[in-house]
Amino acid sequence: MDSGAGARTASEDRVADVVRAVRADPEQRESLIDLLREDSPLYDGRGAGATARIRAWVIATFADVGLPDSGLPYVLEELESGREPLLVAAAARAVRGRAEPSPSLAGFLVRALRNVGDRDDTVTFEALRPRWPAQQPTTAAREILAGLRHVGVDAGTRAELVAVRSAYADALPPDIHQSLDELIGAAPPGHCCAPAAAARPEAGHPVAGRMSSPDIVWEDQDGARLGFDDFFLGMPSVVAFFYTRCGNPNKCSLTVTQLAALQRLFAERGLTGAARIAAVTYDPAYDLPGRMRRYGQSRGLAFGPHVRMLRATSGHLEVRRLFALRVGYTGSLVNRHAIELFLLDGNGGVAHTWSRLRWEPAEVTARVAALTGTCRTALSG
Amino acid sequence: MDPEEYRRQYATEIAQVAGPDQAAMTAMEPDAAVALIGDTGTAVDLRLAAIDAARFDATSHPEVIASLLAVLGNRADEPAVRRAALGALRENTFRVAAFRQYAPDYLNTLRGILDDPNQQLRERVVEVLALENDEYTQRRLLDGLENPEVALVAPQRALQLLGYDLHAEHYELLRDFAGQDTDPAARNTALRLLAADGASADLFARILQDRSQDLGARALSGVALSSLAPAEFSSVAEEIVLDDTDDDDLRATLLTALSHGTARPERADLAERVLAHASTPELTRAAEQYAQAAPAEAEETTDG
Repeated sequence: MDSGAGARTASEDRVADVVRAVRADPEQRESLIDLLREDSPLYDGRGAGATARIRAWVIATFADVGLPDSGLPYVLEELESGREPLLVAAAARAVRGRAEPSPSLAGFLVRALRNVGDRDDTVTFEALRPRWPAQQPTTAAREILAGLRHVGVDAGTRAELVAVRSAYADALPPDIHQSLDELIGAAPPGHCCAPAAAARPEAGHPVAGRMSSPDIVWEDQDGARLGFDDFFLGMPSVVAFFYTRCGNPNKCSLTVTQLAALQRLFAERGLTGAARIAAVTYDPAYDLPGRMRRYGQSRGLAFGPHVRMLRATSGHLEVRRLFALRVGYTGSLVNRHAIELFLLDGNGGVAHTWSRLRWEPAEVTARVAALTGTCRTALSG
Repeated sequence: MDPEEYRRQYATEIAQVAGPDQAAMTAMEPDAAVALIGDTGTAVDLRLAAIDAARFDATSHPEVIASLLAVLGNRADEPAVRRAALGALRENTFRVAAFRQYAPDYLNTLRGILDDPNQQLRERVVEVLALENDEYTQRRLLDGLENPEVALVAPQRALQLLGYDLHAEHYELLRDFAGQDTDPAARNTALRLLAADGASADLFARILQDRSQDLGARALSGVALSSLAPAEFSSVAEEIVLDDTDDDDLRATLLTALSHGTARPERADLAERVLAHASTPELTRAAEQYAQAAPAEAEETTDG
């Protein structure tokens, strides 16, 4: 039957070719990074399941060919925020591709165990399109524990592992409990130490220059219409992206909750009215004003002239282009996206970006304060 | 005597004494139940009774879950025992928190059954995995729709199962099925699933207007079009409703949809014109209903 399936299979064959070439010559490992961009045509029109399968296979390949610095943000992103066992397992496996394992990665692995501890699944990395029963089945938890053995467990991580073992006493199978006990037993004891500070590499974001577009029309959570420049020029703006149908509580829901925390910090540091906060939806056709309003309110956002949720009623493609958004679609549905936060100056220029890894409201506040000239107050407050 | 052999003998004796006495079977120790469940040399009805006894608190006994999974995954075992094991496991998945530690092995076992020679068991497992939105199962269902030689289930069933977690990536294939006429059941299932796909409005309009098409497909297309593109539906439906050479049942269906739709034809005398030549009670009733119905309010729509 003639359908798009043939084209999709052909593009998967090309992915397999790239991976095969990298396995033959690991020096080409950087070429895997291109396969991980959410907005790659490779993922156009694919469902979330197929998208996850392809990404997981690419990420898991790093375990064998070496995980370069450029691949680290993708791996840490999955460990920190991923909820799909296949992708988390792939990321945990990729950690073993680090030539010089750092204990600072252990914190991410423990967080991953918390993320999937109660929703694990059997997965396999035998092939891009594996058949079951798998010859080499594994689970996310098993890959995470193997990753922890690779990077080492310090006293702080040991304490966290003890907490995880207790929190998931009923959810983890006996062999995982046993492995946890072995890791805990082998780690240096101690109660006072925090885990080694987690490495948080900058993912980089190809956005530069001044943001402005006459083609973009926003509608806010109350149905008010405004142009791009109306909201984003004149004072600094913090711009986050989200969509209400996001099924991962560690992504959009947490992002909007953190925007509410940011708003409270602005108030504490005297920045209210000196900078704007915007949450822009990836899904403007579905996220009508009422949906955005309820979503923001339930997560603590207090709307006002400087704090809004926005959807592009026209020019959504331009929004994607302007911000170089890390988002993929199947039809109008999001199949995959990264965590993305932008700090714009009063001229619409990009002052800073946070991508993939979680951002801290305190750090964003400090950068906003620096832009508004209230740096001293914010940093010392 | 070997302890394992002793346990097996003990379990068999208990089961034989208990016979069909459910109360006695329910009181069976998990070890004894496990010995019976996994013993392919024991009579099927005893093994079934042991499964029935063990199922109630299976999540508290990893050895029971392991024995049920082993039986389920063993292609050489009795189909009835394997089906009972599947039933017991499914029941225990409702103990969501307690079953979590077993979920990886459970899903792994189920995926291994997708190619099982036992068709009845295979079809049950396909459904269980489809309800889990399992990517491997969805992929296999799609493969089967594209290549019948590797199909797990009949096309209509495959389409229904994909419908549990329909993605836009499936729409192209669904449109292919909607455009064929060799398998009417699969075609109608495809049309029902496409009713949520805005890009299929033109397809529905074409089928609805084409008098050479199956009447069921035309009616389904009309209902779908009325939801996806009310104004276009109103125009196409009006033409068909006024054509007394077209099928009366279809005309009645479309008139009913117009009565409840958000876009009514501009022609004020539509009901009168139909009533003047209505030849069936259904068409008469639909025309009268249309004449009495007030236009429905338009729903909130998006312009994004």
